[in-house]
Amino acid sequence: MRQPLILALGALAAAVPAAAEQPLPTYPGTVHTRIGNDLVIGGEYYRMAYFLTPDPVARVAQYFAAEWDRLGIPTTVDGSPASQLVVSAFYTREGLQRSVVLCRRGGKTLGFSVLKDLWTRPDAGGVAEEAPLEGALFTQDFSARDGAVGRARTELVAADLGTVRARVVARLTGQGFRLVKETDGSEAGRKGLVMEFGKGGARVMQVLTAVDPATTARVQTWMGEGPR
Amino acid sequence: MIGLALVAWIAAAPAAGVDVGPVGRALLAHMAQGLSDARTGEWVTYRLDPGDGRVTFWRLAVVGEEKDRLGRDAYWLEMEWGTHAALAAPLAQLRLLVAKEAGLSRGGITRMFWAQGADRAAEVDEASLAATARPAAPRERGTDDASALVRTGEQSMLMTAAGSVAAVPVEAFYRQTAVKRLWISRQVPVLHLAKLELPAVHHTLELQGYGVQAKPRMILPDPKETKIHLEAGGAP
Repeated sequence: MRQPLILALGALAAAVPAAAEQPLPTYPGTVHTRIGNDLVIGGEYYRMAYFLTPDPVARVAQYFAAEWDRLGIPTTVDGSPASQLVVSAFYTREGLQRSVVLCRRGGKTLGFSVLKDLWTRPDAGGVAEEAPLEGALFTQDFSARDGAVGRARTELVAADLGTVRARVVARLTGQGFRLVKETDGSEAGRKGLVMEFGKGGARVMQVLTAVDPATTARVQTWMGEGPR
Repeated sequence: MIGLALVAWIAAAPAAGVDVGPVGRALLAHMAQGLSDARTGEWVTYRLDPGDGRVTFWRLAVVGEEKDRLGRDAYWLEMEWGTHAALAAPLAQLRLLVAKEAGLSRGGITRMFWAQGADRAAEVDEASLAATARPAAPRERGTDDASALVRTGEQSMLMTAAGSVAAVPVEAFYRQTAVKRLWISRQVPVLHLAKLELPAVHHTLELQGYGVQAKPRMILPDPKETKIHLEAGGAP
């Protein structure tokens, strides 16, 4: 009795009109845990949750693909059940994309349920976007839509740890920040640094990790009165 | 695909030589005959089968009436294309202000909104439409030729996915070859077209559903949004 009811509720949720709170895709019989509130990733609005199920990746993917197909929503399936499968549905009338990203972890299927707004872009609010660090191969900004938490940047830089450290220190001291704390962040055989910069009530954390001798990962988190 | 071609055909200058394909030409010839008796709320959905398995669905709905900028009585006509009969998430959407007297001809359309895929809808600017706003009903090749022949049959019941409708078959021949078959039905709203066949290329367009309570479905852009400007291509 419970399973058909859940299925019916899932189908109902997927058909809610645009004016209502837009729901995330849900897999029946699982608990979905929200990841933050509405997020801004790479300049686009997202809503995300994750769930765990003993069902195999292919069965979960098939459920979403069949359900969206039944509703007449254009759907794509990318990847492989052995590594990662992504099922996406494009709600073209409302400018929304619903996706599930599925992979196998610890004998269970881990699913990330994602709602992406294809039409609305966040307002910069007059704050200038910070340029990527010199040598950046990849840059991704992450923040909350309502500004409730600080903003974070993930970056992969084509330079060794020492060079990236020097560039970070030069940039932030140029902006008036002062290095207030620096600790060794080495972990699992990889060299790393954790730095804290301060300017008035603003704090900027830097976590640098050597990926290989010529590449460094950088996570920068603004806290306090930093740019949002 | 027909949707995009239709936009190009409507908005492009004749010099561009836009080709909408055999189904598009046949439809435009039919649609150019006017929408004078269409009523607000009427809708019709067709199933398009180009013979290669890539079936699509096309919905037309009359969703409002007003005077156009030339003072003519006009309809707001919404068109949608998609791969599912429900068109819950169409792959293309078009909203046109069409003068009743002129129909879906180049001179009959004075406003146009267009959305493709998951993009937000945008309006085509007035200049793009004004460039084509002259009466120019499309003509099919061969219709003036002595070798062309149109034969009308007796009204009979035609089975469709939307049920049986009373329809009159009309066949167009060119040099003894049937190039187009249409089934015209008073029961079918908007275009009065129940079925269209192009035997030579195995294309068919068939009634999928129809009704009289259509509401506007396209989410229109803010009037302050930038409009699309279309320019003719292909001409030197």
